[in-house]
Amino acid sequence: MSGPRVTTPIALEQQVIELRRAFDRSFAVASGNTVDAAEDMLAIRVAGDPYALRLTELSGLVAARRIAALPSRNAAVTGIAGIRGSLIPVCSLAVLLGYARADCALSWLALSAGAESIALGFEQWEGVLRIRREDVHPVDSGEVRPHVQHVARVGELARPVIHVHAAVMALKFNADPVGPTKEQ
Amino acid sequence: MADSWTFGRKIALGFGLSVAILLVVCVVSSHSTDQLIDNDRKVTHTHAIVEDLARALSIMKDAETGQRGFLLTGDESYLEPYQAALASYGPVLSNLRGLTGDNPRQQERIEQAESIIHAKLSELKRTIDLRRGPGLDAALKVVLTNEGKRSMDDLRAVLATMDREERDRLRERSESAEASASAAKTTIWLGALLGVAFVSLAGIAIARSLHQQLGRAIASMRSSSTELQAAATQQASGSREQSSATSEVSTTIRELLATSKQIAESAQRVARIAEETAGGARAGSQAVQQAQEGIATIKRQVDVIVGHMLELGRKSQQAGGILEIINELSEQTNILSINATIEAAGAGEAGRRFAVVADEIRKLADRVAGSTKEIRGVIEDIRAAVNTTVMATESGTKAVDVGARQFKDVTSAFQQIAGLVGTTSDAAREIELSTKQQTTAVEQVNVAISNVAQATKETEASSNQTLQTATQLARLSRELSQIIQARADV
Repeated sequence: MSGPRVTTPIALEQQVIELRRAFDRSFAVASGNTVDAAEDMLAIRVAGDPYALRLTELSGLVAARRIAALPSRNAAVTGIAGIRGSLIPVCSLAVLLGYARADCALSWLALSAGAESIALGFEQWEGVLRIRREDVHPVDSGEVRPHVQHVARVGELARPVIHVHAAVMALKFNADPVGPTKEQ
Repeated sequence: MADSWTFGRKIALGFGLSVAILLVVCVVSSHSTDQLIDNDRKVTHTHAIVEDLARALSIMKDAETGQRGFLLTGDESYLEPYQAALASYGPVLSNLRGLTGDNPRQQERIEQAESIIHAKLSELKRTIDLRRGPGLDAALKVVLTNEGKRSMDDLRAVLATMDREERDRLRERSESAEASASAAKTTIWLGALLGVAFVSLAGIAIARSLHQQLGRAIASMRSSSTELQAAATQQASGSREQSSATSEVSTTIRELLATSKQIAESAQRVARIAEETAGGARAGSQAVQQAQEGIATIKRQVDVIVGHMLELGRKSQQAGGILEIINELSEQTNILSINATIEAAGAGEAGRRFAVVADEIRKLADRVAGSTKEIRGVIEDIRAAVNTTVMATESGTKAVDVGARQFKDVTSAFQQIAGLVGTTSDAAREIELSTKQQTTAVEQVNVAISNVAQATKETEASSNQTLQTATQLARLSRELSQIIQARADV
């Protein structure tokens, strides 16, 4: 059992003060001067591994409440779910990335942008990351996960960036989900 | 039968017979001596009569002689024998009459002699008177009548008869005395010879018997002395060993005595320590009872603390529930902000400002989520601490219960210790008393052993003395044996 974390009242008060300053500073800083230099990504966990999704390729994030199983010849398709008044097919992002089906745990659904949205299921999301563009690098040839073309460096951690549009297109064209999808 | 007689009996018999023979000899000799003495006395008696007869005749001669001288001279001095005769003839006759009292014939003759003497003295007186008166002639006329001469002749005849009879009796008595002496001599010689012979025979018989019996007795004495010597030697050796053993026992008893004293002192110390321990146990029991009361108080306080901690746990659980709600709200807010950001990104340039707000909301939601995570951590820490505290408190309660039970056990143990210490104290006192009694008994035993040692030394000395005596007895028996052997050889 780990020891209790010491959070003194002074630290909490300092944290409140910092929170208030940051909140006030957000109103003081001029908008749009840093947006072009960075892009927002959703940090997620798939089969325990860290990944990132570009918010610009998504139309929404919802909790996976009820998924009706649907037989499909594509192993990545697990069923359909009712989201925002529409029936949307649900696919396992882990299967799309080449993990075994047993490793998939669909707790959250990321809705792909576009006219025909597809829900990409994964097990956990960790937050939204604002990553500078120079920290996003093309993936090395040794990394063989499908639908991954870039890697975002957040500190020491390299987080692969899933190309949602490519994954959706692969599903639409019934492409082999486990085969290499080098589009570069 | 004679072999079974004792020495004293045999010697008494021998000496008794010898004494009897000597007595016979003595009786015979005494009888003979008495006869000799009687004869001698009678001879003397007869000699006295003879002497008186001669003296009576002499007196009358003296009277006649004086009468004749006076008649011739007329001198009165010549009458002195006459006067003496007048004075002495009476006693002589009286003495003769007494000496011859047992002889009537002599008494008659004395009467005759007395009448003759009176007649003679009368004739003498007449003549003397005539000489003094008329004169010599007148006196001579009377003298010439021969009256005086006849009287003297008659007197001589009577006295001669008496003298002959006495001399005859004297001769008879001498012969009788000689016969008695001869018989006594014969008896003495025969008795002496018989005595010598009998004593010799008795001596030979006694010597022979004594030789045999003494030989057996000496042999027995030699054997007994040898056995006594061996026994005395063994007894002396045993006495020395006993003396040595007694010394060792005495030393051991002294050590035992010292040990008993040390035990008594130790028991006394044990009793004292037991009393102090009993006092300590009572004090400890009281302290334990006080501690037990304190533990009961602690148990009640711990129960209160447990109640408070459980209440705190419930409160923290409620806070966790509230925090879950907050977390859920922040998560939903975050999702909404993410969706708002996505929507703003999809809106293009028009949604850029909205994207900023959504971003701020998302950051706020992130911070709320972070704070919620921290609060959850704190609450988890609190709950863990509460759980730990509750568990520790319950463990403490159990430990207090166990401690209370152990204190009960300790109290019981202290009471038991106090009882056992009391028993130990009593036992120590009994040990002390017993050890003192044992010490007294050991001292008495020591005194007795000392007496035994002294008696053993005396026994050893007595054994040595007995050994010396036995040795002397053996030597004496050998000497007696040599003496008897020599006499037997002789």
